[in-house]
Amino acid sequence: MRCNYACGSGEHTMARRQFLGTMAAGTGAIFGGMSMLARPAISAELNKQQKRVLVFNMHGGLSQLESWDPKPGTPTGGPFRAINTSVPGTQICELWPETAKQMHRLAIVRSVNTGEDDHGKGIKAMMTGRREMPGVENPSLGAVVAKAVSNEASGLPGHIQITAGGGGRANDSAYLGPKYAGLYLGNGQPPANTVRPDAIAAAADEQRNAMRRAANERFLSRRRTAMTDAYTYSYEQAQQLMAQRDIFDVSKESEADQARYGKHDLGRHCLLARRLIESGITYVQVSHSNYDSHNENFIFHGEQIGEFDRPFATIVSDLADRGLLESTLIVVLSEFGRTPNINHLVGRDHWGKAWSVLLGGGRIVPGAVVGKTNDKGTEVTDRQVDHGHLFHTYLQAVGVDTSKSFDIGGRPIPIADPAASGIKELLA
Amino acid sequence: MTTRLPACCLILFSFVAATGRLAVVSAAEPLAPRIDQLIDAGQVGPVASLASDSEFLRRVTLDLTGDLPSSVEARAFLDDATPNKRELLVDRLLASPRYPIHMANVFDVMLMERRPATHVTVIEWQKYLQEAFVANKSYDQLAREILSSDGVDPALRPAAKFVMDRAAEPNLLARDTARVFFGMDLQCAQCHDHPLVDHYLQTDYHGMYAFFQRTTLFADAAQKKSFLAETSHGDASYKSVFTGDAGQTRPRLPGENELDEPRFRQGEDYSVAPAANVRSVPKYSRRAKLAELATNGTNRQFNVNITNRLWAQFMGRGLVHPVDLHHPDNPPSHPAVLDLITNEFVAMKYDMRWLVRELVLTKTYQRSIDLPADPAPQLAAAVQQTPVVEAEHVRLKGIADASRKAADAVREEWKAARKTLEPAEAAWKAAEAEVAKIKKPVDDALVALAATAVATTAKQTAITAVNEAAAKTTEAAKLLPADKELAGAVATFTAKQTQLAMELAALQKQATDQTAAHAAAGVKLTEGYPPADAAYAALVEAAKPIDAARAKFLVAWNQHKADAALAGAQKKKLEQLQAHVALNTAIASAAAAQAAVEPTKAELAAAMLAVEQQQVEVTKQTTAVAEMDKVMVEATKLFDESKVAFVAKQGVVQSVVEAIAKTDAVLAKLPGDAEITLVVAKLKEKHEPLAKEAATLEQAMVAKDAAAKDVAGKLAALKQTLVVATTEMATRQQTVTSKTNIVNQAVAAVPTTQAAVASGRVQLAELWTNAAGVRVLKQLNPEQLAWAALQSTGVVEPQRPGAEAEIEKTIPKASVAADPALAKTREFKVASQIHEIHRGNVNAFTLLYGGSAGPGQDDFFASVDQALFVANGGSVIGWAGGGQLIGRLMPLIEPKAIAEEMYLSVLTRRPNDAEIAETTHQLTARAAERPAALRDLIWALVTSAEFRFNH
Repeated sequence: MRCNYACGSGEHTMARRQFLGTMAAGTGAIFGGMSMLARPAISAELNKQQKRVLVFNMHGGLSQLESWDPKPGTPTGGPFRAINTSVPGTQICELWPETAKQMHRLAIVRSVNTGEDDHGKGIKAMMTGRREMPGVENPSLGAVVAKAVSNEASGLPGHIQITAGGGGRANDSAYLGPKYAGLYLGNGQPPANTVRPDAIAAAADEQRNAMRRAANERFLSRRRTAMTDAYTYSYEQAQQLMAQRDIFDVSKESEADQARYGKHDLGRHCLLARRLIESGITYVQVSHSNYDSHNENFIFHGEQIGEFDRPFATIVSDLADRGLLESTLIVVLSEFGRTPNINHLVGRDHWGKAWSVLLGGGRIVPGAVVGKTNDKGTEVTDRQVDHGHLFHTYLQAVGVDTSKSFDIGGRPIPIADPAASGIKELLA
Repeated sequence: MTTRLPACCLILFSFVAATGRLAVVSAAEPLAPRIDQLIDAGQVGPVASLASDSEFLRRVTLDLTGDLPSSVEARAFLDDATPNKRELLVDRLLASPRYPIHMANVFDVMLMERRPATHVTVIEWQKYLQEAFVANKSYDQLAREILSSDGVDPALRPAAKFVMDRAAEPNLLARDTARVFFGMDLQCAQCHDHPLVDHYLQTDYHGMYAFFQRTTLFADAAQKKSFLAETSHGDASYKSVFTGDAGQTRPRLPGENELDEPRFRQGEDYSVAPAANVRSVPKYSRRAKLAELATNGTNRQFNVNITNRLWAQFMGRGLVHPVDLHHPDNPPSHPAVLDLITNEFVAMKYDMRWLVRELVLTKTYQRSIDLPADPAPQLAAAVQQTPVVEAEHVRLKGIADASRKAADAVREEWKAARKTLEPAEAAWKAAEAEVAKIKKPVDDALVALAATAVATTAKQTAITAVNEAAAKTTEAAKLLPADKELAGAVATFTAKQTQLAMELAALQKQATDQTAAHAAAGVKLTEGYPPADAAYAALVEAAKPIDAARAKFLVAWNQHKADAALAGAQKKKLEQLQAHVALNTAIASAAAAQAAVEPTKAELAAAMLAVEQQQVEVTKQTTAVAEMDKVMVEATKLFDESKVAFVAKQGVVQSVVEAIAKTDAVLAKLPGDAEITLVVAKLKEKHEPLAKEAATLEQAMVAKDAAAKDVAGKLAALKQTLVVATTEMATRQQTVTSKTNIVNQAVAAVPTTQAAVASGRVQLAELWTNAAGVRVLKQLNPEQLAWAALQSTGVVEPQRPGAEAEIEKTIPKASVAADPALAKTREFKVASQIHEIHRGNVNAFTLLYGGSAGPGQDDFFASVDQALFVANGGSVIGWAGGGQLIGRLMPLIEPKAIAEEMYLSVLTRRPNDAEIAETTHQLTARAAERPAALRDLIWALVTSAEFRFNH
């Protein structure tokens, strides 16, 4: 439902475009592109062009040796074998039999060196693409993607985090503002305040909104600005979101799909992620805990990956089947990797010096493998990259020009660290 | 202790005098009209009319108390005929207990930018700020406390929040202090000169950084609290990642020279020397120095920052905007106004209540949000003024560019001079390192002494305990002389006493030795001082040319900044004028386009008339042709008939002729045959009249033929005329087509030119707004929005009895009757208590409507979360359906009365007829569910754009 002074007619669109064009040149102190108002409805075509990002955060630090850069038969390699994948010549750890069949759709970066062995600093670097500086907060990947890629006309949130618990908004959007902060769907629960309270009947809801619009029309005939447009429009977006609340309800998926993904939490979360991506949510992040295996690394990784491999491979294959992989970047990352050295508790410790990230979809070259580590996996020997390069790459994979800046209250702030750049050979 | 001469002072003052920044001011005259005069004088565009009483009431109440007036207050004010009622209202609001509470919120957000509380709670901090505004603490005092508090003095502990809740992180503090207290966002100048702001230098950043670099958080294990400690050494060095230019800087305030700092010898530099679990306090604190120098009235940037921020707080936009980007390329909209309010504010000893009062009494503050109509005179004037202003801008820009070159040259000289200092600096550092070596035994001796002292105390405690036990045991042994065990115990104690006494003596001896060692080391240290002193003196001497070069650069640089500011201001004015000229041109184009439509339409009408006229002609000619056609048909027919008759007669004559010929032939064969002869005679007799008849008929036929030919000629002539007429018709129709195109073009040109006018108006609306000619449409901040929602729906007052009861425990109402000051305190405490009661409600709003922690808290954003919270979250619906407002509305019967009470409570104005009609309609339509209908009416007003923005 649209307010009657924003009927979406050509005339309004025209006038508003001019109006907003002028505003943009003047006050910069308005968050959120206002271009949304110039766009009428989201056409199916637009929806197809809409880019998306799906991130799996392997919380605690996934071992690169038990995943994308196995070193079987070396002192650091551990007990697992390497297996062939759907990409001839590319092997991954045997704990990933299902993902192995999807590798022709994915790419590996085996030469990540962030030099960061602290959980907090590591994940901050990976998620913001910048090293933490005192007093400077940077927005997370989800916030940046939501701001740079989202369709502003949509009432749907641009940035969703699926975690085991919790809820509400994250505080991870820094200067981009709370609008782009991650919306937590703790254990897959839908966002707050999306159900009309019992006290307000449907008819009453329509009437009160009609009165609100009438009051707005009276006031805005006196003075109207980009701010007032954004404000009145937010109520219409809220109604759009309420109308689409089902997209958060994974139980609406078929029994067969629920069985394919698995009925455990991660299976449900992955199926929900697919549902959200299909519904046009720009950024979805699923966290899987916990890979911080300081002891019994091999048992823990066996269990964790045993749970992760199938739903992950299923979502990759599903998105490909639906034609969404071309517009959807998938990333599997951690705060760091794990030490090649196996400690006395049969564990592996924190290791930011030489580890791997898996990604695919969007502009990422399918089947590519970038970078190398030495035989023991202790050093990067070819094409070393860090969080900055990866951050540029993620964004470029979904069509963002990372040399541009955001206009924040009249101040330009680079979208990504200007000192780094994208990994060219990964981008088609 | 030696002190470096403050060589910069003279230079600084000469700069100040040259630019007139600290001209003698008189505060006798009220400030508000002087501000208005300056604004009027500098106004390029038109100004909006003054806001209505209701708009003013709403605005000033929200701005001074963060709250809305009640419907009772609104009615009283609107119906009050007192001429100076606005001034009286301002004084009432400034005296209200909500003023300090609101200003504390404003300053909390301004200073802390919604950062999470870590060492000082929000409540402690706001209480401190509230008390500051109750007492009308001067801004310099407040800033001094905030910048210098170390968190130790309980009264000033909350003031340390600014530093402590930024974890005393020097980069964060350099950045935020520069922004919050000096209006300069130097962040990008940390690693190099600012890439986008020409006038922010890396040395500016590090000059600020140096003030905080020695400050650290000190966690006191015993008190389980943190405080601020400071060291006596550490200097700020920088290296540009762009140019490689590197150096060191002592602390410096924006626009000023590096500080001349006292030098303390190592060992003489602390009031409380650093040690394990000791909060070190240097004799010279850089942070305290910052607090002192920033607030002593002479730093212009500190002064303009606060006046500009207060202006922005009340006017909705800074004279310099954004408020943390003061630099010459972003000049104030009204430089003279900024100068005036800054100079007066300093002259009034940073009296914030005074400045706030003057600001809200200006006409500028009281402007309406309604845009004025197009101001023809101003637009025309802009056309005249533009070339002059443009020329002046070119001239000023030339001056600024020249002084920039000069400053750059001097800067290079300074950089070159800096290199010459290196040997003296190295020598001094080596000398100090030597002193540090010599000082080490002193420190070690102190540590050892401290350890001995601790051991001695422990030993003495043990001796006392043993002595007591021995005395008791001896007493017992006396009472029970036969007890062997007791006797043994006495002996043991005695032995122990002897042993302990010896140990104590040893410790005392050790202490004496250590004291002697310390003294000896001290003597050595004293002997070690002179070389370092001499090296330092040499350094000071060597630094003199560099100091001079730097001072020279600073003068040149400040001159350039002043020049650039003038050029920037002129550029701003030029851009304003150009926008006016553009609108003027656009309006002229639109008018021309509009005017062009009518003549083209007239031409089209004429062409159409010509077509009509020709149509008549064509019709006439067509008719004539048709008629002639008929005549032609008739004439042809007559000819044809006559021809037929003639031909028939001719045939008969021919037959007779042939018969005569044949009969004559017969007669020739039968000569004289009478019968034949008779026949011939008869035939010849017949022939004569028949031939005559045929001749007559032939004549008639020829006549008809001539007649028909005549008609055919006429017809052809007529047809020719018709062709001419038709051709003319086609020409004229073509003219209509082309004229129609011209009209269409002219008509189509109108909306395009009108759109240009509309966009020009939008641009000018913004310029007028930025130039303080029209009131900014600005959102209520999160706290104002929460309190406005609480107050308008009537859920604040029900908390009053509880709050009263709470305060009654400490200040009974009976006790304040004869004590107006105490009565005021009590009133404030009650208001403060109510404020605390609603903190949770307000937090729900700040979480959704407030920005993420950090800069940009005044930026507007609208989110779906906010809308969902208001639409479906319990709070607002609950307040609308269960507050005192709906309680007041329920018993009212007249829809007009209901509408009035509702609009006054929520929007601080009376409803218009349409609004009364809508209210009536809603109440009638939903008569069966009246409470819900009223709730939804209230909800719709609280969620309206007017509620969100208008004040």
